[in-house]
Amino acid sequence: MSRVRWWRPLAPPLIALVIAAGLAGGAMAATYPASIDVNTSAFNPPCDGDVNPIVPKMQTAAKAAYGRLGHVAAAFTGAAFTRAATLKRTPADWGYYVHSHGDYYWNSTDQRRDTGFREDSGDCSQAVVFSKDIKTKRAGRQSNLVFISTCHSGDANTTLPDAFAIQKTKTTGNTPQGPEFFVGYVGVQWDSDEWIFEQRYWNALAGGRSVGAAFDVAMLGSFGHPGFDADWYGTYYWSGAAGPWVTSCPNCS
Amino acid sequence: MTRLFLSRRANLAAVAVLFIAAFGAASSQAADPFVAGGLSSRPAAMSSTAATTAIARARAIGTALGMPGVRQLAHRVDDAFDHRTYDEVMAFDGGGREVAIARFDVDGNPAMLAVLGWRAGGGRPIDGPAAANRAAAAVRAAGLSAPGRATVQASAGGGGWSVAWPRVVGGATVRGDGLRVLLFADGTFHGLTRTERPLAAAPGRPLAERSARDLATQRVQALGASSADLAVVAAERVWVAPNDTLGGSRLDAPGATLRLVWAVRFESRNLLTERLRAVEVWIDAADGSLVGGDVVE
Repeated sequence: MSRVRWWRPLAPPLIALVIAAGLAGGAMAATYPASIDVNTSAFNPPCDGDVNPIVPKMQTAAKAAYGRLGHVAAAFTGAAFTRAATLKRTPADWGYYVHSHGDYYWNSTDQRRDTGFREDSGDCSQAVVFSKDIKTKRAGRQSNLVFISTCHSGDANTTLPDAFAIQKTKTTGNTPQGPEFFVGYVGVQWDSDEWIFEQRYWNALAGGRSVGAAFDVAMLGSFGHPGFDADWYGTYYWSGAAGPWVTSCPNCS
Repeated sequence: MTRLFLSRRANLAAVAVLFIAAFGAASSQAADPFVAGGLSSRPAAMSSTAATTAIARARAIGTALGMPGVRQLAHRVDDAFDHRTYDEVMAFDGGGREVAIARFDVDGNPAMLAVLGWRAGGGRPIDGPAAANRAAAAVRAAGLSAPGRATVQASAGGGGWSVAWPRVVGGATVRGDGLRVLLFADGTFHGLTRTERPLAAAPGRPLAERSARDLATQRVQALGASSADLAVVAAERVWVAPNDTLGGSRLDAPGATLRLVWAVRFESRNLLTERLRAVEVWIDAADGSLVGGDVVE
């Protein structure tokens, strides 16, 4: 073991410690908001008679995870998660997580299908938030970690990464594409598998893995359905820490 | 050699201290069950002998599978989400970057192997049958055996292929258990996971499928869904980890001991499809009680 490099494995936990200390002291120079939008009404009474407690767990876990990364994370569900509210918040968001019903919905204005997800709105008539809507509102603003916990969000033809100005490329080399990472599910997936994947992902991130390494760890979960799949785009060797890079790549592990 | 060993021990201790300091909430959970929002894993005590053994195993298996890494670091982890204790060996390249992870159960068997990073524009892509052969070779190289026929699926996140050998007990698939290998598109090894969780005793006289379908339908209808909205499409006898979906006491992590159930699947129709695609109700094959369920949104 080289004496020069013995400290390198300590870097990720040290970064996490610095983030935690900064949050505890409330002394952060800048704030990097992250919104956690979770559709609970669609999958619980009154819209669905079945009780689905996995969804609130996903919300709790995601909010905690974004907080650990240094974001000022706020969770929205029910009447607080509407299309209008999401689009109003999104220009300021550096991080974003949503769990909802996702698909290629028909956009009657454009007369074509577009990737999107449904709002909650606290009732059973739920408008679609199209990727195009988000892209227009964000107008190319930098994103950090974006996790779209919906069916089809990670399909090959998804337009959601672009809505958050995340290039649909996988970067692992020495020329990172920025402090950005997108995670989405491929095809139709079951909630129990998504929960396993997400908890493994957040836990690996908290343990100092890069956003890409955490994805690889999460992919090796004990999923109940053999067809489980997710995909990613962005900078593999990035810590996930909130905010821009002030130099070329200070957070790369 | 002594100096190296001391460095490694100091390193391990420092990692453990920082981990606990950075994530104090996790330590406060102690041996409590996993709680959503917290961490699922926490460091556990590991002797230097166990660390050395784990590193030796990781090096051997890494060599057999072509996993990268010139330096390794080991620590023991208690995982409250997976109900598992394992030895994790991180491998680093010459620049100090994490390039591979090997996890071993405390009995020394591989639990998870991962080559970190992405392989773009590698060699010529292989087809499904070739992927099955490559995956079987990887399993053998890891010192494991893969009985039966593999299930081969394309996997975007896996980099190319996901090849699985599900665990089957008493003719029923144990969901989530077995062996699974991820390969990049050109057949290069990407990852392996092996899971074999405890099972409850199988019932002497399992519930009949018809009874399970009826019980599941009653359950769904009691919750307000009509047969016009949700219709049974399948019933499968499988082992599952109990959860709290559809009611029951709160379980933030899947249950530790799997039960034999009838997984009765309903698909949605009409307007309900805009919010919900499918529901599974897990009926205990022993006594007809609700064990949990699942949802596709």
